[in-house]
Amino acid sequence: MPKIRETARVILALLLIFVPLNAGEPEMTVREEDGVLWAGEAWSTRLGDLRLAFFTGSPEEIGAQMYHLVVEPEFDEMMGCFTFIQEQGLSGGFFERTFKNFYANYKFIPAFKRFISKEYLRELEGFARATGDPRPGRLVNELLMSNAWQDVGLVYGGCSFFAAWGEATAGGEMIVGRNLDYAGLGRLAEYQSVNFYQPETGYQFVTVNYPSMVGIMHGMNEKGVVIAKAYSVAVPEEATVDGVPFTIMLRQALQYGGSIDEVIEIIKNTPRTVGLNILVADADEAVVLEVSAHRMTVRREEDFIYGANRFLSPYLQENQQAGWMSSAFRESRFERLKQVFWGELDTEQAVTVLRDKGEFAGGCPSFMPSIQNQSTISSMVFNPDRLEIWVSAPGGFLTTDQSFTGISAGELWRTGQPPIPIGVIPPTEHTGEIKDWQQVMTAAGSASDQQKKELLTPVMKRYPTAGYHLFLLGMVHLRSGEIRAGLEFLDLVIRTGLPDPYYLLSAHAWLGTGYDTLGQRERALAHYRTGLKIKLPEMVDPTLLQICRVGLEHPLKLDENGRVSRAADR
Amino acid sequence: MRNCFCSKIVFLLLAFFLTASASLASVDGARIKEIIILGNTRTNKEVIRRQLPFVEGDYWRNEFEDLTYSRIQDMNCFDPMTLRITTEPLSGGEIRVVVRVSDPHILYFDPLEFLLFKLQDLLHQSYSQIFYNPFGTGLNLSAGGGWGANPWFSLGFKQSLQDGWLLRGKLQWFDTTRRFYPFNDPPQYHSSGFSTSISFNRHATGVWQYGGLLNYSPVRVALDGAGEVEQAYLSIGSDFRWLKPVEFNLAFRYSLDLAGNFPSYPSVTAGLTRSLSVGGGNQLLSSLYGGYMPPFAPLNRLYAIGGFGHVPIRGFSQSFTGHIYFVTSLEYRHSLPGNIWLLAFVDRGRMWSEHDKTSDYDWEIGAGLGLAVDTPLGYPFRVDFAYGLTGETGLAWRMGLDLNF
Repeated sequence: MPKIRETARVILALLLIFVPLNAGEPEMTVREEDGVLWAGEAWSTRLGDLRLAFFTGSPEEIGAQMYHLVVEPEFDEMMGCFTFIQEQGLSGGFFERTFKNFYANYKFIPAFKRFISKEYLRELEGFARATGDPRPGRLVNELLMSNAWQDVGLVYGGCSFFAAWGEATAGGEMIVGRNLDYAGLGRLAEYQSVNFYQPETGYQFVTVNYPSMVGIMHGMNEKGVVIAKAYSVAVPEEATVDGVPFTIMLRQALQYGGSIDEVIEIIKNTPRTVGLNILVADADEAVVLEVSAHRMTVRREEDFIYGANRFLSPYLQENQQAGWMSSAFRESRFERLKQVFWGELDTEQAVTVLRDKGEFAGGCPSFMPSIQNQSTISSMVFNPDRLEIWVSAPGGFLTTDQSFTGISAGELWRTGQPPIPIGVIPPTEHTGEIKDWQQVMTAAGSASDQQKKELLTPVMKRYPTAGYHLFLLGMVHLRSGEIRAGLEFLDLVIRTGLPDPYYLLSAHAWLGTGYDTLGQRERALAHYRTGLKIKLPEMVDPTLLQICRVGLEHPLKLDENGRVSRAADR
Repeated sequence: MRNCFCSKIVFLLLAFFLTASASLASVDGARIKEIIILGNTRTNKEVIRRQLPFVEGDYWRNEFEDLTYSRIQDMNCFDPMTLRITTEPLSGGEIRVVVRVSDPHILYFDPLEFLLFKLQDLLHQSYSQIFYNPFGTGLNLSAGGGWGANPWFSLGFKQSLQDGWLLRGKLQWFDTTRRFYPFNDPPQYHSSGFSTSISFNRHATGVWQYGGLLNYSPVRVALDGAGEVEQAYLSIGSDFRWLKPVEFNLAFRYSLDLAGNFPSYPSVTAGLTRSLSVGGGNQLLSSLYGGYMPPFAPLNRLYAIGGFGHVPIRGFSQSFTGHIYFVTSLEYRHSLPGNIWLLAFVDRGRMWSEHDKTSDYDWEIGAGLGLAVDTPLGYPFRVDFAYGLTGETGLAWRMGLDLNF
C-alpha cells in the first residue's frame, strides 16, 4: 500500500513538471499563401502600403492572432516603437520612475483590471501568451498600461471629425471623415493596420489601429455604427484614472452598440476617465457625445456635424480646461467647407475636407495648420450605408495627402477573405503651394531650430509678406537669440494677419518681450496692450496673456535660450 | 487674566457661529428621471441604492448632494477620491443623477497611503487592517493587534444598512497599564479583559447625524497598586453630530457595573470645531472640547487628555486624567506655494480631578509649529513640534498623515 502511494506521488509530480500549464491551448500555426499570412481563419495582408488584418474567434484567439499576424512579422521595428511609447509614459528621474512604477503596479493596473470587461483582459492574455514571454502576467500588465497610457498620462493630441448626411451629401448617404492628430504616436502610426474583428460576442467591426491595442479610437461595426473620438480637455475635477480607459470604452461601445442609442447607453453607463468628443453615427443620423469623467451630453445638428478639441455644448463648456488647440479655426474651416460642398458631398470630397490646409486663395496662402496639420497621423472616411471604409496609407506624418484605399467591410465580414479594393483616391496633387505647405508643416513639427530655418527660409523667399511660416521663423529667431530678425518676422505677421487670432496674441506677446529686451519700452507696451485686446474665439492657456499683463507692469527680457523673465530680476 | 481668557472664548464662540454662504445649484426642484450608479465593480448596486436619499421620480433637493456624499463616504467601502455625485440636466427640465464610486483594492484605497500608514503602525508596535467590502455587500471587516507594553487584539465589522443607517461592532482584548501626571507619583492602573461594543448611527441629513451605542467591558482592574478587582461596566449611550457651519459632537453615556464593585455614573462629552478661511488659502482652525462625569467614577474610566490626542494639549503627554476637562485649541495654517502649509498652534486646557495625587493640575498651555505637505492622497503629511509652555515637558513631536486637515 505505501508503495502504491509513493508511485502515485511520483507520477503526480512528473505530471506537474511536464504538463505545460497552457496545455489546453493549441499552438497557433501561421502559414503564408500569396502574400497573405494565415492563422486558422484569421489573416493579415497588404494592399500597397495599407496593412490589413482579420481576427476571429475567442478573445484569447484574437489576441494571439494580433501578435502572430501583425506584430511578429515586424517584431524588431515594432518593439522599437513600443519602447519609445513606454519611455514616454515612464519619463523622469529614478525616483519619479520608481514612483510611477509603484503606482502603476499597485493602483492603476489593479483598478483597470476591476473596471475592464474580462473579455478584453482575455484578449491581452492571448497576445501575451503568444509572445512566448515566460511571464505573460507581467506582459499583460504592461499591455494594459500601454492601452491606458493616454488616460494615465493625460496626453492630449488634436483630432477632427465630421459627419454629413441627408441634404448635405450626394444621394443623402452618411459620410464620416476623421483625422487622428497626435504627433507623439508618429512612429507607431507607420505600423497602423486596418483590423477587422469577428468576435465571439457582439458585432463585427473594423478599426484602424496600432499593434497590441485592444481599445480603439475610431471604427465602424456591421450595423453601420461609426465611432470617432477627439480629446476635449476637461478641468482636473472632471478627469480621473479610476475608470475604464477610454479606448477600451470605445471598443465596447463599437462591439456592442447596434445603434446610436445603444452606444449612448454604453458610454453613459461606463465609469469614464477623461474629456472627449465622441462622434457616433449610423446610416441615418450622427451625434456628438460630449463627455468628461462625470458628465455627458448629446449634441445634435441637422445633416452636418463636426468636432475638434473643445466642447461646444454650454453644459460641458463649463468644465473645459483652458488651452489652445486651434479648435475654433478648424471648426470655422468645417463651416466653410460645409457650404462649399453642401448637397454634393461624397467620399472623394470628404477626403478633400480631411486634406484641408486653409485658404489658398488670392495667391497669398497662409500655410496654416488646419483640418490637416503637422500632427495628423491617420485619416479615414466611413460610409455606414455601404459599410465602406477608406483609409490613407501609410500612416504617419502627412498621411492625409497619400492615397486613400477603399474597402468594403460588409463584403469582408460576409466572406472572411482578404478584400479587393473597391477604389483608390489618388494622393494630393503636389503643386508648388502644396509642397510649400508640407514644408511649413514639416518645419512646425521639427524639434530642431536649424532644420526649421532651413525648411522655412525658401518658403519665406517665395512668400515674403504673409503667412504662418513668418510666425514660425520669428519664433525660431527669438529662441536662438536673433532678436532683431525675429521681431521683423513677427512685425510682418501682425501687419498682414493670420486667420487664427491666437497667433496674433502670441506675436504681440513676443514682440513686446523682444522690444523690452532691446530696451524699446514704449513699443513693447503697445504690443502688450494690443495683445490683451485681441478677441479670442476659444480659451487659451494663460501664459501668453500673463506675459502681456506682467509686461505692462514690468519690463521683460528674453535670454539667449528664449526664456522670459522680468528685466529687473536679472 | 481670567477676563482676558473669557473674552477669547467669546471671540471663538462668535467665530464658530458665523454662517458660511451656501451655493445652490440650479437643479433644485427638478424631477429625477434617472439614477446611474457607476464604478461599482464589486459592490452590488442595491447596497449603494438603499443608502440614497432619493429614488427615480423624486424631486431633487440640493441637500441631497451632501447627504449622499456623507452616507456613501461613511460606508468606507469606496475610494473617497473618486466619489462624485453629479446632477445632469435632461430635456424637459428633468435631471439624471450619477453616483460615481470606485471599489478599492480589498486591502487599501491607495498603495502609498497603505505603505505609510502601515509603517506608522509598525513604528507603534501595532498593525491593523481593514478588509474593504470583500463580498460586495457593504460589509467591512477589520482586525488588528498591538505587541508593545500594552498588548491588544481586536476584531470588528461595519455593515451598511439602509436609509443612512450603519451598524458597527467591535471586540477587543487588552492588557493595559497607564500612568498619569504627575509622573513622579502618578495615578495609575492596570486593566486586562475585553471590550465589546455595538453601535448604530445614521446620517439623517447632509449635516446631521445621530446614533446609539452599547458597550460591555468585563475586566480585572488594579487601581493605584491595589489588588485586582472584577469590573464589568455596561454602557449605553447616544451620539449626535452636527457638521455645518461648525462641527459639533455631543455624546451621552450611562455606565453600570454589573459586577457590583464600582458605582454607576453618567458622562457627557462635547466638541466644537470651526474652520475659518482667512484669505490667500490660509485657514484658522479653532476647537473647543469639554467633558463631564462624576468624580467617583473609577480611575480606569476617567477621561485622559493631552498630547497630540483626540483632545489635545500639544507639548504634553496624553496623561491628564480626571472627571472634567475643558480645552481650547487654535491652529493657523499659512499656505505657501507648492501645496505646503506652515502651521502654528496653541492649546490651552485643564483637567479637574479629585484624585489625591492630582492636586497640582492647573490650566496648561502647549504651543508649536509644524509643516504640512500635500500628497496625492488628498490629505497632507505633517510634522509638528510642540512645547509645553507651562511645564517642563521638553520638545514633543509627531509626524504622519493628517486625515482631518
